[in-house]
Amino acid sequence: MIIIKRLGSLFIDQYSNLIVLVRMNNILYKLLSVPKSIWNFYAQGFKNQSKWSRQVWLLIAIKLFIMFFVLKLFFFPNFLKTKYDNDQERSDYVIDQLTNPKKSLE
Amino acid sequence: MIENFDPSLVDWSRAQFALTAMYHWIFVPLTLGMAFIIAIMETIYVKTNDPVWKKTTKFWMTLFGINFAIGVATGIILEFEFGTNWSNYSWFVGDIFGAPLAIEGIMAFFMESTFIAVMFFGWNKVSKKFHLISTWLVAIGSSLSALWILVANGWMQNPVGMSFNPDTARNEMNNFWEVLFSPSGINKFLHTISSSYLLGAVFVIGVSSWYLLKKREISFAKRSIVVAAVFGLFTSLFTVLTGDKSTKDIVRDQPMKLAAVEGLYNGSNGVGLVAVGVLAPKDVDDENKDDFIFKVEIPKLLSYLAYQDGDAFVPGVNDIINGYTDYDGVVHPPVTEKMEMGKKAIAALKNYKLAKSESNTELEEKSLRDLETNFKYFGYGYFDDPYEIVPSIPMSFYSFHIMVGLGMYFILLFALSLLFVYKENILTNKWFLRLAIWSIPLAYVASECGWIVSEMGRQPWVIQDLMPTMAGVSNIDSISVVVTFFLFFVVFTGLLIAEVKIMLKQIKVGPNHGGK
Repeated sequence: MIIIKRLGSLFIDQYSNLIVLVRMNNILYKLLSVPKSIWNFYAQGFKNQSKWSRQVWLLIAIKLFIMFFVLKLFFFPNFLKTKYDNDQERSDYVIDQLTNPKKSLE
Repeated sequence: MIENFDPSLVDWSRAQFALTAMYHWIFVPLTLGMAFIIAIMETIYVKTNDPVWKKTTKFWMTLFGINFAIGVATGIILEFEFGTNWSNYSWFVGDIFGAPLAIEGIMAFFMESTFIAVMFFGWNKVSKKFHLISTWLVAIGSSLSALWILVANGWMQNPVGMSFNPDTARNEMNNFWEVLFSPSGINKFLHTISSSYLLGAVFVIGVSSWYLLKKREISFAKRSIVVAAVFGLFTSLFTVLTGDKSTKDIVRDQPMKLAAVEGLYNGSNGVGLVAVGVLAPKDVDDENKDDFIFKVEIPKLLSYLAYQDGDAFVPGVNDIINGYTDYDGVVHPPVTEKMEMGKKAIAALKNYKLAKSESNTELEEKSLRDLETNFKYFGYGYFDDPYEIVPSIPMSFYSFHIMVGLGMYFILLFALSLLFVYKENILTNKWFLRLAIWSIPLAYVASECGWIVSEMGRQPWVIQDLMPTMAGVSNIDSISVVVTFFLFFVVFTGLLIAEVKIMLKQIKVGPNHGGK
């Protein structure tokens, strides 16, 4: 009788461990599938775009290219960052500009 | 000292910033306004389950999407300009400008861009409620973006919550909350977003009126007009209220701007508000000529709006130049005195730097004391003539009166829209439908005029009383600024033409094609 009871309790322990394992597995599966479902959401969204939407994306791409690869690189360097190596030099320069404004003409 | 700065460089840098800011502002208010109108329409759809409301929401969402996409990131160019053309200014403002702009980028923009994907891709993929929440979050997120930008702008109009570090030549934020809740920043934010909501409402009414004029999509158009007119009526009244609050800020912090927008050369007690007027061409200090060729004035209203007292003294341009005592008894010194203090502050900063390099502790301490005492008028030290602090009065006056006049007109437009829909005779009032279509560009004119009032009216300051615009520019070749000015003009005009073309095409297609 005792042996049967012990075997029974062992079986229940193992069974509950299995349930916990299955539950953990489900949670893990769900967690892992979140990035996939987000990816699918965006992929399907982009795939099923309307004509105007595609035109607009093309415009965005052209605009960002002009802004970051043409304007920023060739026309809009950061004046103080490119001219001076550290903040001390930058602040010295600005103080000089603010207190000797005649130099701005030179 | 003003002649020491290259006027061509300053003017072109200003022109370029104005051009990019004004183009950027063509896209922004429509995004802010339409986002809320769409959210309201979708709320009605979720509540009623009526497919017509779904179709209505999706159509306006298409136009919103076109505008959002073309306008997105156009504001980044302004940040490029800060680093290249306005390096003295960018360094001087320190982290005060950086913090709100960083929060804007991290919080509001990401919130907006994340949920905008759900808004467009999420129909039939997420639950109705989640979709609705996303739409509302896009609307709230876009307005929050505006909050941080306008907090930074508000600080330039009324610098608070900071202290100047003479070692780095930077202003350092010592009270974030004071910067965030500065009355001029908050009122500016509320006035700007409510006027943008108004613009969105005018746009929806105008486009819907075109359908009614063509006798197309009648049910859809009428529903759209009702939502936009109710929203527009509330927001336009709120715009009036926030405009009144902004006036009180200007009275306190920028009295010269108030004098300029009202064409008030000489102050007095019980000043009237000029409703309509034509300024006489004259010098500010010319006492022999009349200020106006013609004007219609509401007696005592300006005094009342400024101080809630119809007999209060409101200072004019000449009073501010010569010094005056305000309504609360505060004595404002003449500009010549402020100029002297400003020159002392500039000299103190120079001496402080020199004393530091020579390890002259005595001179260092004296210079610091002088700088602290005179710092609040630091920017005045760059001027030699007190009249250099007067902004363009015609530009400020006409922009302000066009903005206010159109604002009043829009209230009437919203009220008439509701009346005609209620009386079911909107289709027969073709003059009104045409008027509503032509009101779309007028809403943009009013919105841009608001920025002209705000930014031209505060000249010659880039940071009120601390830094004149001319001192903020980088020491670069003005030719490069001219080249990029025209480059921007071409790029932005191209974007605008593309937006108008795509939008007109979608409007012609109409709501029955699911935005395809």
